[in-house]
Amino acid sequence: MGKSIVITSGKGGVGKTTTTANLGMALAQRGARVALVDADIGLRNLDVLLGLENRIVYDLVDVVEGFCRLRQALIRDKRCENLFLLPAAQTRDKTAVSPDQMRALVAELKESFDVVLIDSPAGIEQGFQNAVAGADEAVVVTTPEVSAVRDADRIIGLLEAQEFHAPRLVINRIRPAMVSRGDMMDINDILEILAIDLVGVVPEDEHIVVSTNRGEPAVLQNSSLAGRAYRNIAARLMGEDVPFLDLQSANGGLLGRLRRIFGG
Amino acid sequence: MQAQTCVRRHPLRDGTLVEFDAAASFDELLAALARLLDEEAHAFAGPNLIIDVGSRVLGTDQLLDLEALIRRELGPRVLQIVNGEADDILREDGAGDGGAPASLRDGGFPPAAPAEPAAGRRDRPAVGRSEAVILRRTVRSGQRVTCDGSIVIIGDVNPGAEVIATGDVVVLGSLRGMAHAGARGRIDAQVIALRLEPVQIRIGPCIGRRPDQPPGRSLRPEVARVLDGTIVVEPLAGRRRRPAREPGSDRGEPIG
Amino acid sequence: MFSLLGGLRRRQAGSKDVARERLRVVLMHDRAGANPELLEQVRDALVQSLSPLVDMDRRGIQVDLRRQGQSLALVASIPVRGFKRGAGGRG
Repeated sequence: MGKSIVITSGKGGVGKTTTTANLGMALAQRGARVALVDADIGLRNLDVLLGLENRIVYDLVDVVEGFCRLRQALIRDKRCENLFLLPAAQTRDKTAVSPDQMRALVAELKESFDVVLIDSPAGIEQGFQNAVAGADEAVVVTTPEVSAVRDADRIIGLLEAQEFHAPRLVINRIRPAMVSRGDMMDINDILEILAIDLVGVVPEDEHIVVSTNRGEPAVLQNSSLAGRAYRNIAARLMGEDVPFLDLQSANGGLLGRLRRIFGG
Repeated sequence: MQAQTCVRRHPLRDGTLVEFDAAASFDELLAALARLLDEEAHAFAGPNLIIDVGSRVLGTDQLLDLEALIRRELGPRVLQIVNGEADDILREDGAGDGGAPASLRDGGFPPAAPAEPAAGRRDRPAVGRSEAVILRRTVRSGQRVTCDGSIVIIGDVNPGAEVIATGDVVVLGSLRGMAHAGARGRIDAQVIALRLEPVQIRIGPCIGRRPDQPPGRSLRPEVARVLDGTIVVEPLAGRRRRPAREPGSDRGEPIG
Repeated sequence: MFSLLGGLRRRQAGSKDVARERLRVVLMHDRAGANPELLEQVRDALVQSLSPLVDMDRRGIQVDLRRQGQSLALVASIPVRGFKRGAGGRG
């Protein structure tokens, strides 16, 4: 029996889907059997980030409506044999699925996977309600911007209202140079405001753009700083104690600056 | 009887046939159908719903509106849009020889091993049918166009869009989304595009997908068809063949 | 002179402090569930409860939420023309 984790943010464009794809790949590379669920019905993207868009035959709505079996809709990743994707439907909308149906679907996935990662759509409407319905845990993604942190706060409130005990935070796209100049909120600023546990910090990284273009998650590249950050987050999600300072000091010049930030 | 209305309902053995009046506007028809579905939903038993739109051509928005109405009022139905074939369908249905119309599935994909199409339908030439649906517009992500018969799209089909036809799919533009020709199982259907760069092509029960390393841009009209159980792509006017699953060496050559 | 220096120093600290401060204010509003209609209702309630006691300029009333340390304060500014006679004697 595996566990299910929803990746959510409130605000769009902060890197939820990138985070889901990279964490999924990183967890699978560690040997876990991983299913990624794209809950963004009508605006699917996870398939493109994973480079699997040309393999989709059936989707989540087909499974829910009984047109196919769950096994038929799961797409095996082409690089990692224990990573699977359940794609969203593109030509339908969020009302095609109910929270109860999602709950049943995720429960079924948990029977054969160690980890089920659910990529939530932006917003707090039905798509979000669907995405969190079957989740045991929640990871909230934000960037160091006023609007993103504000929306993260709203989402954390909603998650707590739905009895997610300890949603955890990923701060994405932090730019060390700007932080040290005092032009970007640092990790402590954000944590002080949101008051939840940090599970990882991902630096802004051009590799992400390239990897999105290619449909290959950045964790597949050893040279990618963001990829390393995601591997560390994956380890923490599996209960390993990876110190944040380790993440920083392993990376040379840029990290010197980051360390100063963390050192506060 | 349904006097005063521009939609007529005929019960079929495993579904319902709805005939649209030729003189009414689409909005009138949609409203009349909504009323009919509201008042007589119980009469729409069975999985199939066939709508005979006569000689009219429905645009993407109209098709989507129609589909949405039916899904809202009836739930999932196997929806077919036909052009002036109501009499044939009623005759076939009444004959009771197992020739009930096979289904074009609502979910966009037919069973992997589709039932044998009704006799008579199979022999119809793929191209050259008198009534092909013509759409003049770009089909965008999230939109799905379904059509019983062949469809000609004058415009592009973008990634995330789906075009599903029981006959051929012809795109006078770039095909970058998903096209399914022969959606009721015809293996001799074709997909033709000025620039054939789809994410996926389906013909009858076969699926071909774009290679993981996308080939260069297609610079001339190409046709996809099924050869020995796999989908192959070749220049529309040429003889060289390449499998749809691998990048072809002839991709990206200049015309001429 | 001091305030000028302070201003310069603050600008040198970068825009993150501005971001953090704006965020705090916004979040306090959000967390309190405050919206313009609600503040309007608060204003009306204040007017109703105070009008037997106070003669006020109703158009000049401002009600807002402000941060005070770690908590949120409801701040009402009510221009007073005078107190109503005899109002104090009842209690």
